[in-house]
Amino acid sequence: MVFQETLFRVTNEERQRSLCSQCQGHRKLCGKPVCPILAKAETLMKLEKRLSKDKIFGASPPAVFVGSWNYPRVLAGPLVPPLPSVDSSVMDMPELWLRKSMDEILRYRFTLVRGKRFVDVKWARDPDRILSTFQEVVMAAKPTDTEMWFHKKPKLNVVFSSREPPSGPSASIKRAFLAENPSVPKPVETVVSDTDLKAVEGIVKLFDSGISQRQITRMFSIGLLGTKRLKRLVPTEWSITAVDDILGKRIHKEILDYPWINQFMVFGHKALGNNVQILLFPSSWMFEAQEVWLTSKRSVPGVDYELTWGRKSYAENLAGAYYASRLPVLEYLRRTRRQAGAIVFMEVYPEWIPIGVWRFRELCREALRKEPLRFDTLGESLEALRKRLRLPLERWLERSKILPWHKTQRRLTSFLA
Amino acid sequence: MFRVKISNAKLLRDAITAISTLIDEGTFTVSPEGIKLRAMDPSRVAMVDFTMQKTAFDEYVADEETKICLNLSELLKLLKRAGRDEAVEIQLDENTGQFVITMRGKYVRTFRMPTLEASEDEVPTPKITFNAKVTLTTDGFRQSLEDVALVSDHVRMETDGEKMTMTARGDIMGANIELLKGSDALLSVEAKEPSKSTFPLSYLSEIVKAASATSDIVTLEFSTDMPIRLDFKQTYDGTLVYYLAPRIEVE
Repeated sequence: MVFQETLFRVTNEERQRSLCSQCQGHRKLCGKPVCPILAKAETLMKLEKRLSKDKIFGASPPAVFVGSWNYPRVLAGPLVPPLPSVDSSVMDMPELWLRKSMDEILRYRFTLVRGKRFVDVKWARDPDRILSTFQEVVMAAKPTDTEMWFHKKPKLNVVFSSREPPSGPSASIKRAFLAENPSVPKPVETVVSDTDLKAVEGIVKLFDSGISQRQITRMFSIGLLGTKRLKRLVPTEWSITAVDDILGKRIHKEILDYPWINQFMVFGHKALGNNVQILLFPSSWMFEAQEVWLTSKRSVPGVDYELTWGRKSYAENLAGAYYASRLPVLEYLRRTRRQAGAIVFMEVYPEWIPIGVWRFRELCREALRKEPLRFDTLGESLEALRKRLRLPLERWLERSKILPWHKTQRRLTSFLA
Repeated sequence: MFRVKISNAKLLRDAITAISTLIDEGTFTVSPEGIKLRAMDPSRVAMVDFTMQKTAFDEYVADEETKICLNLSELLKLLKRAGRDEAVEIQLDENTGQFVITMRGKYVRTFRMPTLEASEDEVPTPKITFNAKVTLTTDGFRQSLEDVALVSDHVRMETDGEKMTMTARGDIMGANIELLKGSDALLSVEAKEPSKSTFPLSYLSEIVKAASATSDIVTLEFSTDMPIRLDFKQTYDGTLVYYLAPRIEVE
């Protein structure tokens, strides 16, 4: 079967749930006279004198961006800060951002200058010189000095997305070079040179050999994975969710053999205007994600769920957030060699600025690293959740699909002789 | 030693497809009498009980009881390569532990696949007294389930011995299906006492959809708030039976 990367598009529900990505800073939907994000971006840019040229030299974290607009002829290119020979890796390392402030993260992102050029996604099969350079940037494990020449001086045009973090000024690329030899990890080299390896298998193989999910996603996006004939570029926002799903599916298969947990557990973590609470209950695998933006009194959570076998269709309501929160739960179950039912409650507070779906993934991972509250009954665990959630518990419960399932569905084991 | 030959490859393929709706890996017990498999799905909500007697095969040799565990989706991929009237030969290579599948058509193809570690757990069948027994055409049952699936994710099945009703209640919509004695879809109905029970459509529809390729007639047995037994009549000497646990409304 051909891998359907377009499946992982951003849905309307997903876009609408985020005020900033609807508004894009121009319509003032938040009611403030000046968009605080744009204002911040402009201030940062004024400070940046080094951008007044049509050329940039700096160490890419490494990072690339592939747009979804105009697919299959998309805009792609590396992200490079105007800072040569520094460790810029944190600028594209969401796993470190929970401990940063929103200001710091925005500063990292707006410092990244985005080179862009039209590329047909199929060029990945036979990349030209510039595309090869983009690919080399991503194969590197560490920041790599990169030089880009532009047709015009980079211009700031902040674009908000519910999935990927923003980036700074952009300009179309004339030429691009690596100014040093990238250090490429062995597994990356092996997988990239294996032109018979399918994209899904490549992703799993890289993950199993310890390559970070971030790097795998970039590689997938810039067209380094897949069999020779089917290689293609994948827009960044789609690649993020596709990799969450592929890695999740693979763990899902494995945990179906594990014994059930024998208690109710509640995990949670708050940061950056987001609150994530996770309930695990004794059951075969089932999963539900609920997400609510507390922007009005009448906010209602969006819901998607799966039963033991997993989903066959795309999670239309939560889209990216569904797959980003499911993976950490599966990772936890594999780590503890247990099976459970899980509900992830995600609250987004007004102070959040949409800079990507990564925070759900990282908040879940952080929550699941902590010691949970343990209970013997569902009732007690729900009471604990009530105290940790701002939206009244009843509003979540009436949206839940898998709790009624869990309460009403009997197992055959109760009827065996 | 285990070696069989079956001239109708579709028979075997459809049976394996029906089993694979509930499980990914299946442990088959092969004995001089035939093949059987009984397994619960990972959620323990449903069970499949499958047998294929040696007379269902064109050739059947098994000199002792052995367990063979296979990845069913991998097995299906191979069985799908068999053409309409091609005979399929299967044997267990005892030296390598591999499952060897040979198809003889215009040319001879031999596939090898690994066997997995067999599970030692014996799954007992549910012990239930069934008060109601309803025989339907598989197609009629399947259509009714497609109807109720439009409004809800579970269905209540009810009979008083005269007719069978299937009811679904969604948040805003409802559906009610009546199968009367003498209708085309209902072949027979009997009940020792009025019985009703509710079942999840996510399982029931999948089971019926998968089993309908193997069977035209299905016999349902159930009692109030107990598991249902679905017996799909097979065209060969063998059985394909499912059990599905009920859903019980709590206040």
